[in-house]
Amino acid sequence: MKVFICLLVPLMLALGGCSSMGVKPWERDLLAKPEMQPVPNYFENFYDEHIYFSKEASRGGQGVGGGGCGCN
Amino acid sequence: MQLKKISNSLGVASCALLQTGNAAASNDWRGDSSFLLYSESDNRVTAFEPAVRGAIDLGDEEFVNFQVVVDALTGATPNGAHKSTAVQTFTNPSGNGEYTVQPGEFPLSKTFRDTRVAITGEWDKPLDRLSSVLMGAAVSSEVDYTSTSLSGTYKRDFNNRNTTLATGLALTYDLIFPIGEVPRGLNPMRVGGADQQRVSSDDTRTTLDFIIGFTQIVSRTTYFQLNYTFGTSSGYHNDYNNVLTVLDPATNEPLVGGWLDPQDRPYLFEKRPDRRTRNTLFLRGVHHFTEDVMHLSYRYFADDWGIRSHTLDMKYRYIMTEKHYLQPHLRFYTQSKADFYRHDLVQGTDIDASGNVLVDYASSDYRVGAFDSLTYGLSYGYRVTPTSEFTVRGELMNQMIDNSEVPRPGEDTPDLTALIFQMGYSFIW
Repeated sequence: MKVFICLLVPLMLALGGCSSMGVKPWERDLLAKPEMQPVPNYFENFYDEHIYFSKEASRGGQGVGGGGCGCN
Repeated sequence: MQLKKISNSLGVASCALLQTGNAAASNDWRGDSSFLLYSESDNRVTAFEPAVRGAIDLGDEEFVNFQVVVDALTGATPNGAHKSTAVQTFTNPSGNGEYTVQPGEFPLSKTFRDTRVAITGEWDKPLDRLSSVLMGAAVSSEVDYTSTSLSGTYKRDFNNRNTTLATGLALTYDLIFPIGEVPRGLNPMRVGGADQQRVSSDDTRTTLDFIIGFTQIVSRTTYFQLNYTFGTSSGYHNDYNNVLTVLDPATNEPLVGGWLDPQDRPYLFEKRPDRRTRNTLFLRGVHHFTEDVMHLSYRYFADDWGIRSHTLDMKYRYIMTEKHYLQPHLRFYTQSKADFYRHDLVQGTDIDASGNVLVDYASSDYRVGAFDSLTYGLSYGYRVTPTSEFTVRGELMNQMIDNSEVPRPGEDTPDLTALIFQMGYSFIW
């Protein structure tokens, strides 16, 4: 819960500060490129998540869902 | 454009945050096929994992995705016991048959073989011009394990679509049914063919994950993303194949005699807490240079088992020509041990003369111990046509185990090196 509160405060501050950031709709050419997406290669990311979930104690961070596995 | 839009819809809260606002009804299909070869050194685990994924664009930014993955595993895996100067004999997890480990050898269970099939479906549905919901379901099945999961993620754009907030929830129900039934935690391994003193034929675990994410476009070339994930699980968390050596402090060898029943072996099945709470902070930045693109991420993980970890990940896409790119990848990971991690259990300290175990929980699984890990490698991508792409990558993962608490020299848990090789082909028709 402490982590949650520590996240929320800067998040609210960031939201206020971020209102001056950003681009106009016609400035999104580079952001729209496939290699600029958060996950440019779906299966590369999928396999990495699966490998490190199996071989390390940590998990997640990028999203929720996808199901479990007996590998850990 | 469709390639970009569909790739936005893949995945969950991490994705679909950079839409240009264009809506079209195309009924295009996108197919992704890939396979992974994962191979560990010293004849340990080898995994072959082919996968296919289809996504259909229903128009107006609505997508349906489905995915099938097969995971074939073979090889040897550590059983958690110590090395010894004598031959060690272990009972197979089924309770029938046994295997031996030679003096000085690191004990590996060589019966590891499994095939897993996982099916996932997702529906990404816009609610209005600025918000959408992604609903997902997943099932997977293997020889001793099934998992069922439902998830939903809501996201909304603000600030002229330069800021996105996403929040999601996932519920996972796992059923574990070991071959030879569920061993009792901190109970001795029994000789093959004897009463194995198992507690039940199966057990369950329920997991709930909650995420809240924030993505901000900074400029034409840069954006960042911050996610917080809270996860809690209750039920069976043990690795039922994992045991701990009961060490005789007088000889530093596995205990002989004493309180052990003639049908007991000097190895106790591990026992972990039946609850776990996890907190994860994930920060990602993406920047477009003149031609090249860099992805940089950091993750902090903490759970109530005492494990803390840091992960740094960097990918740099070097655009060679319009059709070719090279992408070096570097990943560094470090974790501390769980409170209950033990290299072994010492007779007289952790177990009394009558065989009563004096600790509540213990596991010697190196994956809940302290270690560092470094992965490095290279991807190559080739745009075969404007709507299809071929990729191949090769990487090496090195896990460097912290053996600072090993009681004797020469009994280190060995480091692990693994080869990661992947090929993939994506296309639209």
